[in-house]
Amino acid sequence: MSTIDPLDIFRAEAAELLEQIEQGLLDLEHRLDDRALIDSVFRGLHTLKGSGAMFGFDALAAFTHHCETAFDRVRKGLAPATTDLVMAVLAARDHMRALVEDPAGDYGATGAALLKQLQDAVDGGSGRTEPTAAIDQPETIPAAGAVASTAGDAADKSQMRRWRIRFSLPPDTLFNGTNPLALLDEMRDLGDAEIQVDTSNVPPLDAIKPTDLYLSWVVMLTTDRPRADIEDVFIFVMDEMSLNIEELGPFDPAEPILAWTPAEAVATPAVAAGRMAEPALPPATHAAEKPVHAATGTSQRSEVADSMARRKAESVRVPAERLDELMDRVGELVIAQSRLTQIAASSLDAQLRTVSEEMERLCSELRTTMMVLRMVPVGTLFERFRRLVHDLQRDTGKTIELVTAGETTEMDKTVIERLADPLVHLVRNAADHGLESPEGRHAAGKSEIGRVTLSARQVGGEVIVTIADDGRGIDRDKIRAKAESSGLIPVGAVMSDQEVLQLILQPGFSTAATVTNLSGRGVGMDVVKKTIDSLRGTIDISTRLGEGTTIALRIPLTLAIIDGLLVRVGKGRYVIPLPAVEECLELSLEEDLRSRGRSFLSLRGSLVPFIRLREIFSTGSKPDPYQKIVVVSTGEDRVGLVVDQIIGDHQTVIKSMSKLHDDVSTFSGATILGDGGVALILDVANLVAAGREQEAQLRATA
Amino acid sequence: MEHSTTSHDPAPSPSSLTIRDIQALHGLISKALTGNDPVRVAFKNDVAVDLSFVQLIESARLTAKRNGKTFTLLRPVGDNVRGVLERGGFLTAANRDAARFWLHEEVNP
Repeated sequence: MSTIDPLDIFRAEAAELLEQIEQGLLDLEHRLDDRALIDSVFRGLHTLKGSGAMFGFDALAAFTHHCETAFDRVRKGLAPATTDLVMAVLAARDHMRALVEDPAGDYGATGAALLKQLQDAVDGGSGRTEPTAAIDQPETIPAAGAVASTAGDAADKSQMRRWRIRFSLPPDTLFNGTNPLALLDEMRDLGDAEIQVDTSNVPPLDAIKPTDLYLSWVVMLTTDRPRADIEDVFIFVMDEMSLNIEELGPFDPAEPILAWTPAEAVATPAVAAGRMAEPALPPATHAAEKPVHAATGTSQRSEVADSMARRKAESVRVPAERLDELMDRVGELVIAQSRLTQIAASSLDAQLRTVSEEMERLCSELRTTMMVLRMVPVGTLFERFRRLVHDLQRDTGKTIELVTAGETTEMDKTVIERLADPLVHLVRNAADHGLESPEGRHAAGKSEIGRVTLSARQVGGEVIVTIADDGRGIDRDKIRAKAESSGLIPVGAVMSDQEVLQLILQPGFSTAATVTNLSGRGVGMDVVKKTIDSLRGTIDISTRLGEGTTIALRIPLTLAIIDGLLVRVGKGRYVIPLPAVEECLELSLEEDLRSRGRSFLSLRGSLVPFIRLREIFSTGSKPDPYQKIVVVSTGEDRVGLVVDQIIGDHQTVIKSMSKLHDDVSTFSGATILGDGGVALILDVANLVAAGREQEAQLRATA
Repeated sequence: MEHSTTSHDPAPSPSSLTIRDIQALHGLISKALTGNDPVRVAFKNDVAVDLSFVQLIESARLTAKRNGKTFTLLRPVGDNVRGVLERGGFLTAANRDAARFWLHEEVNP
């Protein structure tokens, strides 16, 4: 079992928190009085600060503290949420991300400038609504706990109450980055707190798991703050902790604040051994107060706990490498099961056949379950572009509407991560070059609001992610002229529209008259192409002058185990991914001979090119008398693959090929068969592209 | 951190007394307590420390006590460790044993 670096856990958590903060801020920008959004952003900042400090990201914790404090004031109604504040914290959020990724980086005056922007936003907000309060305050952004620490001094003693709070935290508290000391500090901020640790559950060295927490605490608190404020201290850990809050009654200055005294402690043997003494309490007060407060406290706390429990049940964080390990095991199981099926098929033992069939069914279900574990909705990727478009509007001066569709389409999480950068390039291009200026749109009779649409849909064995804009479109003549002048293509070369458009994916190709800080340097699109190639995907570009451009990224579902159609060509066996298979036909010897030189078959009125795999693979053997054509497709394009025999369906565990085979485009991998033999997996997208080329040549010569 | 016994050289030091190095510290202290010699622990005053370390030392104290061994600090803890002890509620008057161990102080009842 692999070990996990706590810092990696923090970085993953921080990335999610920053995402949550950003989404909250973007929503808040439109609904400045939304209390739930303000709380959400505050909680994100608070947790980020606490976890950061715990893991030694001191610069992050210190910087985040200022933003948290500003939002705390908004949360408490001391300052309004303003657009300036949202913008300031959005800008600060990027700096926080940098501090997570490179805590030791040299950021110069960036942090100070952002804090100045934040300070101005807070000053401005306070000045508009609470001029007196803003002038009276010694600091616009108070230091942490400043409000709380003065609360005890200023409070009316008659409102002071005494509380006993017992709590223990889950074992993985320290490992997950929660610092119990910070919770205790917050308790001190509420009033006079006497804190006693309980070490009685700490095991000896041979039984301790040193990263786990075994300590628990009892706090005697005297404060004028309500119970809700005490519960607020634990709001981020309440779902897993044990917490008991008892009100002991009004504060009596004549009584000692603490229920235990040194004399009592010494008289208690358990204390000397490091155990917690049960505080001596006035029995009447205890008995009279407890039922009332137990009831109210439980109902309040249970509401919070219920919502947190629901949230907790929604997802479990599992390192991707563990899923990979599990996937490998399932893969091995599928191979073993294939072998069992083969043995059972050649056996007369009915019981063995029954067990084998049951195993096959279970393996198939297990595989299906395993597959969906890594899949996440593409919406998680699309959400990020709200911020990008927000910034692009500011930088370009254009009004841009981002429309998303198909967010529930699922893809492998690692693929989604790798798609992020290409999509950034494409959305930037769409906003910067695709969409016209508001004046240009007005002149063209369009709405001044430019639209960029991000959508995803699954078609067969691939997901198509589309970026479309309703801008000016791409001028093919301009591309051709540019390509000819730069020597990319010979002057007057015969090219299809698609081929011309594909030229924009060439390194260094840009038709932009001006280079902006967003795009136009010609370095973006070839990066997009490289990434999509590495995902074994393709890029389709379609455009209409004056109406807009659509770029479709076709990404195969990169699953480690697929359903395949096992075929034989010559003596070799090959696997064709089943989702790509449309139908199987017979190719008689006569038809084979008749179609020599053309390699097209007429399929329900349309010509479909076909490829004789025995020729590509140079089998050197005679074809079977009744060859088969397996028609495969990728969306709209189809191609027939001529094979000698169709063996049947086969659960295929994809094993990647070695570096030596990097340049082999016909195969996407290999798999181990039930008899221990190896079958190569055909790369359908490449074969279809070859068929398309064949068709284009035929049309050109016709 | 280093530990000293009558028969061993000081052990190599992890860079912090926090959860980052707690596994290594656990191994170090467990190994030291397997011998029969008294174990005396010393650590730098300016080193980063957190609750996991204090908890580990409490565990070591319990282990030594059960096995009849001597486990002490070479010198009273510095400000960093003391800060964690105070914030964590280890040094209340009720816990004079802790004060004696960590601070080398006697607390009079």
